[in-house]
Amino acid sequence: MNEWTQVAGWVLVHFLWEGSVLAFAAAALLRFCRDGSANLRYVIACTSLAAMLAAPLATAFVLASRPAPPSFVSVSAFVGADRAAATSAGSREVLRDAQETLGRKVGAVTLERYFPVVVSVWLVGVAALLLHSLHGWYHIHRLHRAALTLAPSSWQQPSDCLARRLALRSPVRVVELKSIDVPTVVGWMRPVILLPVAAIAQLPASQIEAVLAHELAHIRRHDYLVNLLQRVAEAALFYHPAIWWISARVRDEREHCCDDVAIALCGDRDGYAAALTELEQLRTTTARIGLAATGGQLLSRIRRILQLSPPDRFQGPSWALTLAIVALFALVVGGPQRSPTLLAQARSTVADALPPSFKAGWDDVTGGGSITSTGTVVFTPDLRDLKSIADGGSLTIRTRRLLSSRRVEIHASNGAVDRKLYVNDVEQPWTQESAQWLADELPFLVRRSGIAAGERVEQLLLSGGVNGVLDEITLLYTDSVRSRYFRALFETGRLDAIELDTSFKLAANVITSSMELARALRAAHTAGFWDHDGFFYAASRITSSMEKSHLLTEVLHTSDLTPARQVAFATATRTIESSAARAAVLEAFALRYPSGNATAAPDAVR
Amino acid sequence: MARPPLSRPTDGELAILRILWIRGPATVREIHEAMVPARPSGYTTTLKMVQIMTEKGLITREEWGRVHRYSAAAAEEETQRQLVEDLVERAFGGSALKLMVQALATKRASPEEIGEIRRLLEKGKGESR
Repeated sequence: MNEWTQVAGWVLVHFLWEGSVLAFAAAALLRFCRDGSANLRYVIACTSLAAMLAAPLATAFVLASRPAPPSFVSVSAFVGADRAAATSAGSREVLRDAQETLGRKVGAVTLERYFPVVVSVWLVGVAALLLHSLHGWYHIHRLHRAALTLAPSSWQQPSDCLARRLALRSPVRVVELKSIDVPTVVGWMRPVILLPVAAIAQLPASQIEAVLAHELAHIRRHDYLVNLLQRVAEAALFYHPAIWWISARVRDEREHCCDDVAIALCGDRDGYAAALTELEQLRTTTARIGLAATGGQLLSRIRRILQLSPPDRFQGPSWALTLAIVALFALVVGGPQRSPTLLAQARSTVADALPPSFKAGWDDVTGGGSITSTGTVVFTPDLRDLKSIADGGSLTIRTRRLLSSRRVEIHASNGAVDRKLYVNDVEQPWTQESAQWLADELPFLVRRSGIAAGERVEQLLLSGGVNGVLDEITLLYTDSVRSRYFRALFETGRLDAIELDTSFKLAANVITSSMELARALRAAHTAGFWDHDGFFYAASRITSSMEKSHLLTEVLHTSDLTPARQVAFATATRTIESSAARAAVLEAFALRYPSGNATAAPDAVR
Repeated sequence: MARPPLSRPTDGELAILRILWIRGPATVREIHEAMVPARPSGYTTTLKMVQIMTEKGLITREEWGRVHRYSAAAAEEETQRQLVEDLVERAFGGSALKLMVQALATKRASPEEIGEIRRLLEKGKGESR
């Protein structure tokens, strides 16, 4: 998974609690300042909104600067990565602890798997909302430009008067229109006030001036711009109700502030309240935008304007919804399977037991697997089960497919063998089905990882002899494991000449990696099996010039070659592709054996 | 001045109207010559457009013997205003509303609320008397 997807996913998840915390803090502050000025509350709400925008950015910064939590490793590696994360510099203790706790829980792995989907859905949502807004903005832009060309209304002069009193810098045009039903401001740099013709005709002049003052207050406070930024914030964090709540609070307090300005400029509270009510009633009944929803702000505004005590209805965030979000977060990340005992168990498994004696893991397109053992582990010959396990030892097998993971932990303590199964990190009872699953998976896991190679070779030698071992080697998956088995075989020393020949031929055919083939042949050399033509044949099949020349040089310097072997050696040397390496080896050979047996026919060894 | 129903002029028609607003009544030949620098097209194209606009009611025709003179049916201010009114209609049909700042909230007050407000206002008036 892309690192950015991982970071983005975590940022979105963390905002679930960050947004809720900020919302509760803002709610508390707003309630505390209930009797203060509307401007103060407006500033509080705006700051909270800004904080909600800043929080995910800060989260992203902190997360991106840390090493990424491990996405798939075995239990012991998890603990190791944990320690590494703990020592790295962390700037936000809370966040780091949260992240580590999450990282420690294997459940986080499952969570992260959904990140690509989650982040994609989020991006689609953001894009949709932004496009929607952009579409609207385009219309407003055209409207704005066209409105600027119209002749100003008769209210331009009173408006300019008020604008001077408000110390507005840019000129504001006032235009009367038929199709608008509520006084509206458009534009930030060259603002235009649109007045509804019908409504204006019915109101006394003083009231119209108060309404104009309200609109001019909006202009002076740059509310048009703030509103645009609010829409952007709403688009970016649309999935959290806290954003919508705080945005609504900003809007409410904004209206209150501008009401205050209007009253301050024009003095007549009753008149202003009457004007707003009249405007509300004169709104055309044709529902343009589906304004069926009622329940506006107007009542509370009027109460406030008339300085009547407001009913004690606190506009808190939708508690139910916010609690639901936090609960969802806890569920998703915490989960019922996250019992502390499991955590302690996982730790003790690694800490108390013997150090891991074998650990292997792999990942590919379909999934991955890992197998870890501590202490000596012996499998049954058919690889369907564990035969024995050293006391205090353990075996952990993990397989992962697209959306599910399975883990089997087998511990031996005090003579008893304990088996546990975890599906998606939830413990399941050990049943016949589990044993069957193990029997099905174990052969692949053992052959893929090369675990207990030494023990298996011993076992196979006893049951099927060298040929049995060689048959098994053909069932292995990778060169490194094949090499491991060959090395174990050679180390036993129990091969006769024919078996050696077969072994060398098989090694040469089945191991493509030069390094691994060389390693196997070195083991054969150490075991004393180099004095066979088959050895040099296999050596000649090494493709890498470097590996081949190193091996041959080693043999040259540590062993005495009979004339027949000298021929084989020279033939093998001639197969070195790199002319420089070849020359070097031949030179060393000539120095050691100057008698001239190097010129034997090339087809002497077949 | 007679006010025929004004349909919304297209961009090309607006260009012709602008010429007429500046020059006053003009023949098709004069209109075409004025248009050519900005929008080169054939004379027949201009003629066709003028004819369509006359049918639409955007232009009126006066016959001066064999010469036909055309003039804009509505003043510039009038047409521009109509344009803006149309744009308002379009802007209000969607997300544009959320981007504007208005004196009243988008959500309307219910009739009950209006009644409550009226009562408060009456009370206020009564008290201040």
